[in-house]
Amino acid sequence: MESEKYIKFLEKQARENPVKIEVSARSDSFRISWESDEGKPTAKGSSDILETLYLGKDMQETVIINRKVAILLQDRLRGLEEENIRMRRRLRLLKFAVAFLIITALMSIFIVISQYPSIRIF
Amino acid sequence: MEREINSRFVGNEEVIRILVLNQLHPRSTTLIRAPRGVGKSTLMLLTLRGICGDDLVVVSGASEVKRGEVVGRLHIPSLEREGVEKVLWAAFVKSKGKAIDEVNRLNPYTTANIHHMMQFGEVWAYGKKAKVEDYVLVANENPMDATSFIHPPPFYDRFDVCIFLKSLTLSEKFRLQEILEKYEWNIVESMPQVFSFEELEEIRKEVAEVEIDPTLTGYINLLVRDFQACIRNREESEVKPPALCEGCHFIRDICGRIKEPLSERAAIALMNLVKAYIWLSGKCEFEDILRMALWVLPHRLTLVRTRNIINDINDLLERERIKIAERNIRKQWSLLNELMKEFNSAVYRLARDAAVEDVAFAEELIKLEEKWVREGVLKQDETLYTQMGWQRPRYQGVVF
Repeated sequence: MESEKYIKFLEKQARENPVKIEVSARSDSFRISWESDEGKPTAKGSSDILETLYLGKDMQETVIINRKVAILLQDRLRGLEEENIRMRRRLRLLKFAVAFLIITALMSIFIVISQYPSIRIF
Repeated sequence: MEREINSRFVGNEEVIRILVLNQLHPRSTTLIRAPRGVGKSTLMLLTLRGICGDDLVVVSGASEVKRGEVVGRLHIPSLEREGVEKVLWAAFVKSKGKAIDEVNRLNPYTTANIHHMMQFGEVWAYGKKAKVEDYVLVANENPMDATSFIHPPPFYDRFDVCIFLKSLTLSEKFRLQEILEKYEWNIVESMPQVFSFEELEEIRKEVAEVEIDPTLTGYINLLVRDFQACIRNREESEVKPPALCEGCHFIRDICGRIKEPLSERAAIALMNLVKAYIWLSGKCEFEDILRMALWVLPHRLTLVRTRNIINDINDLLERERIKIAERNIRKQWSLLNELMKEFNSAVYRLARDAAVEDVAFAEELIKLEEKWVREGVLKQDETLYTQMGWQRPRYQGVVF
């Protein structure tokens, strides 16, 4: 059983630094946004690199990035690179499958036409 | 009170503010550390005279103090005539203002008695017990002195704050000479009693009723936890940092600089100071907590390497300020708040990212993971504590 004050602390922190969790209607996936409804910056762009990346905000002239965020981004990039390699492998496999299917289809058409000379395409 | 002391004591204004704030809770204890001749005893006496007037007793560690003089002695006539062991309690026990000069020279037996009084609010002598009423205790020591005894860390932990005095600058020396002439070389005698002890007790009651905002309580607890936490369980480990930290993910964190961590009394002392600060100023910010923490921590922990304890702790508090800002950027408490309500795999993934940056957060997430494993929501080998090898002490699966 957690202390009431601890719960209040977490709730207050959540109000001050909110995260939005939106459940997708189509699947079980979630969309998590760090955007806060309160105290939105009045400046058009953002100087925080995370805001520009995750919230799609325009960048200001100067963008701030600290070491921890850089490490976070580095980690994310590494993950995406790995995902990219995986997807390229799958893509290559699918290309072969498509080529095989096209050849099979063409061969099937050729066999059908040779079996029934009465069939005319034009 | 602060004004009266400042008009008689030159320099060190910030520590005088802390010294006054620390008197606003029951059984306040203050330790003043400084080299010789900087004004430790003067500041101690000014404080006690300002609160208790003449109702103060000074015990000097430099002299040969016996237990009878500090706690109590047998009443010989009662013993001889009636065969009854009657104890005459010492003036130090009964007085409201208690001063200990050069506490590091106090013998271990007397120290043990004073330690017991600070711990339980009572004293024992010849099998008899006496309850000690509310008091103000101020002690001083020069850590550079060749002392007769080294007191145990738990004794020092009983002091709410430990303030350090610095020597005077050129202009301050001129000011001191003027003050000495103004008060005819008797600064302590000139100090008036600013308020009665009854008034102080009323103030202490009001301060005790001050409500602290959950955010401030959270910051205090986080600060203390950051100075305690160790993912390799330093407290029970025979190997201490820096050897313990070899290869640890958090080696560059605050925890990697601390050999002996803080006790929970640090949080209590900080809470008392924050309440007093709110009572006096109406509000308290995180910056104020960091400023006050500088005087709550030095006598309670041992660092891996100490060059200048105040500068080293200032450096660690600066790191703490950055840590709190990073926590807000990561919005990790919001994530934890969501996870406390129910398990959500996407939020959990983000929380894991945050946990590898923060020991205190990792501990809370690990606690939740254990609950989710029991509920079957999460598999054991998917947890952060299995994958990172961080575990809480347990025996046969039971967490202590």
